[in-house]
Amino acid sequence: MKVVYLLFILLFVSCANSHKVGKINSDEGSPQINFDVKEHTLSNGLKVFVVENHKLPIFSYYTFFKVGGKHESDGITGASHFLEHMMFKGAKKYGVNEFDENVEGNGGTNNAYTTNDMTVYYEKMPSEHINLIIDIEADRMGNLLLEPAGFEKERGVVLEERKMRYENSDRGKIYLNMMQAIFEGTPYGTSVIGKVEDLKTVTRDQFFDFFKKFYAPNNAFIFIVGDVDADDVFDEIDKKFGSLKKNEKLAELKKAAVHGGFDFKGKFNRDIYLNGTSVDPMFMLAFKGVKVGPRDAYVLDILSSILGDGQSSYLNKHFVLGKKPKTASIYAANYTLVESGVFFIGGQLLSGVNMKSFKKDLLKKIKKTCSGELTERSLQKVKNQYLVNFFDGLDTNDGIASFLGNRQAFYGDYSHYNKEMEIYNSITLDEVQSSCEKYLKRENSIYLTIWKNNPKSKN
Amino acid sequence: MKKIILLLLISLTSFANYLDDNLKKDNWEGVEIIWLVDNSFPTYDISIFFEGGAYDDPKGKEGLTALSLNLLTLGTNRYNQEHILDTLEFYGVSYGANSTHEYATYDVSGLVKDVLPTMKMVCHMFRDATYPKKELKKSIKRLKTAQRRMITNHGALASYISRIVTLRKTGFERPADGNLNSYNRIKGSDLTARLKQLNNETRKRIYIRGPEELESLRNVFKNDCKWSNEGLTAKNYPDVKRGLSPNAGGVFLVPVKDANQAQVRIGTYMSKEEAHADYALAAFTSKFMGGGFTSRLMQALRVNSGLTYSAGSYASPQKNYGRKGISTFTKNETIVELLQKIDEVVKKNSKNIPQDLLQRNKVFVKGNYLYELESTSSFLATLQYYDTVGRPYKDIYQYPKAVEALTREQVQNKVKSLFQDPDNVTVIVGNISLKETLEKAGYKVNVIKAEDYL
Repeated sequence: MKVVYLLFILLFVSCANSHKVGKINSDEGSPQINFDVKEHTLSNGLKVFVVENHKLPIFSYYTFFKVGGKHESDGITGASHFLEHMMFKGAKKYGVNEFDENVEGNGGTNNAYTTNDMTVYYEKMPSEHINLIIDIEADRMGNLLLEPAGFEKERGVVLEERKMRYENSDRGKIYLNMMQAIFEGTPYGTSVIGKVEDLKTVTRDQFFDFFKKFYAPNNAFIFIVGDVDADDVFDEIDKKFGSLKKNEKLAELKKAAVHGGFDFKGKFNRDIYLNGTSVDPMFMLAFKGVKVGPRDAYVLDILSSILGDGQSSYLNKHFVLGKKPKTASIYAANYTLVESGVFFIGGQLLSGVNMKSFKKDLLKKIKKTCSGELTERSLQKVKNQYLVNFFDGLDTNDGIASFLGNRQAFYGDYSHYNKEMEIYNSITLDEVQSSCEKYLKRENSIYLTIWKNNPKSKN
Repeated sequence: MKKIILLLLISLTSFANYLDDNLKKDNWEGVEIIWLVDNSFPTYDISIFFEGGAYDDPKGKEGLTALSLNLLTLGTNRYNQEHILDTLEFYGVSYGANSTHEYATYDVSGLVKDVLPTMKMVCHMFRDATYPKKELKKSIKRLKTAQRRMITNHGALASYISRIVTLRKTGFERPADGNLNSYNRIKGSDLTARLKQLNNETRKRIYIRGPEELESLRNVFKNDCKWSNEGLTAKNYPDVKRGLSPNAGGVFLVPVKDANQAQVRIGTYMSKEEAHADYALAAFTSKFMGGGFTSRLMQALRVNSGLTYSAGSYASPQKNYGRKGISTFTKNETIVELLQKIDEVVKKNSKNIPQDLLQRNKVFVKGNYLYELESTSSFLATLQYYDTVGRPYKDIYQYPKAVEALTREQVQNKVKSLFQDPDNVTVIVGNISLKETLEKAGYKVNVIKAEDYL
């Protein structure tokens, strides 16, 4: 949820000084870390990045496919995520269920996740198995089976996942509805998990079509960090992935898949009422945001932290700790995607607090904050917090592979992290104030509520 | 295969060397210091360990220990809540408490350059917290809302109720974080009294990760926190014995409105003796059954039948007791099939585990063990856990060797004793219609209300 944190938390330095992978300079508040990243591009467009770390005889292997929920259309919503599941169900050389058996049976572990913009697969393995993983990954990128019996069983698994995450969770339900409402009419409005009716009816042939279109080497890159030799890895990847054909029509297929464009098209300045199981109401106030990259995206990150990160944040101080508390919890987040974004504030009301009057108070408080309440100290506090987070949780291969890989995926530049801290440190209070006024407008917002017997809910 | 074992041994040897080189043990005014010296980052982690926990909370005031630590920031004689929070968060500090039945910790992390003013503030809170009435009232109201919210998270609700139901009569069943009733009874004077106990009558250990310059904390702990273990004796809670559970063998259904999925928890508690016997065997067996995509439960319930998204098992020793069980979920229509399949998988693996399957899982478990120790913070947490249960650090390095030595007969017997226990209690959170479905299949179902447990 706190998406902004993802930008900071995964830098890596070995716990043993003799094995430092990244060189840190953090004397003056803007840490600079330089990783020795070796890069190689195959003729089919597949890019490979390697950071050698010989501390322990293990490595992490990340594959980023630049395909996600935004590339799906009606009838196949949820396809990227369902396909992510099927990628573990067998390919030509490593057949049905052999993926997990080979990874776990050789001391490894693996998983994957799907977002609106991409699908990411990752493994951790003992270093002697680097060639095995390269072989397995090449096999499933080129020759996925989509075996029929497994396909049907996995359909049930995905439906259960949907129930667990969204249908039987008020928190999940309000988030899903928020994303669908704010991005309505755009490729981000279809939801990553997919519609139930699509999940029940999507066919294996539709999946093959989706797979062929988007699981091409020129739509992917690999990040490997650990006890491997970069040159050997490049040789092996050339050998195993080199024969896979690039998709020459990828650009036009992707363009066609994201039909409609990313400009906000939904209905704003409205309320959505959902029925749930919570006794005390939960709410979300979502605003049109910005995509990853522009300076405003960084400014909104800072604004979200000032407003709703930590107990001393503006909204927490006012609504949770204030003289007349209204909420049990409150938070703010700035979620930037590749093509668009959403800024949202969420929380749960205290028992007996009227939802209508709370909404009025919240909008009033935001307006007041935007028009002059923010202080230099609150800005500096957030910058200090970002500095701490910059070093947080950075001592694993996994951490660095994910950290650098995400920057490569979002900015097309794995080394973007050093620029990020410079940008954050250069942001002024005036900029935060202006962004607050510019983006947190009532006419650009949607207000969602959920609780047991929500009086106006229709579902 | 041999090569992997060799690699693991080399890795663990390098860990052992790392520990020899970087683990510093000290004694600051009688308080034991366990310090993982780490110069890699300009950051630190400090965990203050209190040898006493929620077991000591008076009946009806469950959550007292947790609240006395979590609400330290409400105010002191000198500073109000706003000042305390603003000071700590301005430094970018993460802080908070964790209270179990047997111990409690207060954890602080931040930048080394700010450690002195931060820890001085933390010590000030410990010595001078007043839990002002107004702030306490607001906090209690928030806690009650959060507690009621659990009903919207069916997985968390199932785990919470399962813990209470399975541990009934052991003395460890009461919720460490409190409940709706206890929140109404806890007063500021209770909190200050409990904090005084933690400060002055409870033995402490302090775990540190960070560079050498943190030596300057010695004086802060001495002069500001004024902590000392001198004259304090080790805390011993009663050892749990088996045969206490009035709910043994029962099936409990917790109805939740409109649920279209059933959350299932099956398990019971372990005596102290059982929890600590054959640690490597129990840890391995729980992972063999439910610790990865190739585990027996995941294969049977997800991969081969599509009944669920996830299934796991655990055998978790605490100091004086332990818990063991299986955790999964399925759609309403397949609840009976799921329960039968679990029974089938457990029975099968308590009788016949193929040797090659066992060997493959040994490689998986040993490999994963290395990743668990990869980060310094999880390594420090491991040391804290070993100290808590009284296990020597050398066991950290011997685990892979112990796993390698396990025989299929041992694992089969352990599957039986862990997961085929006649005392197992089944807790299901889901739609009320499950009652009829389960009863038709021959289960005797006790319907219990979630509200009675919150």
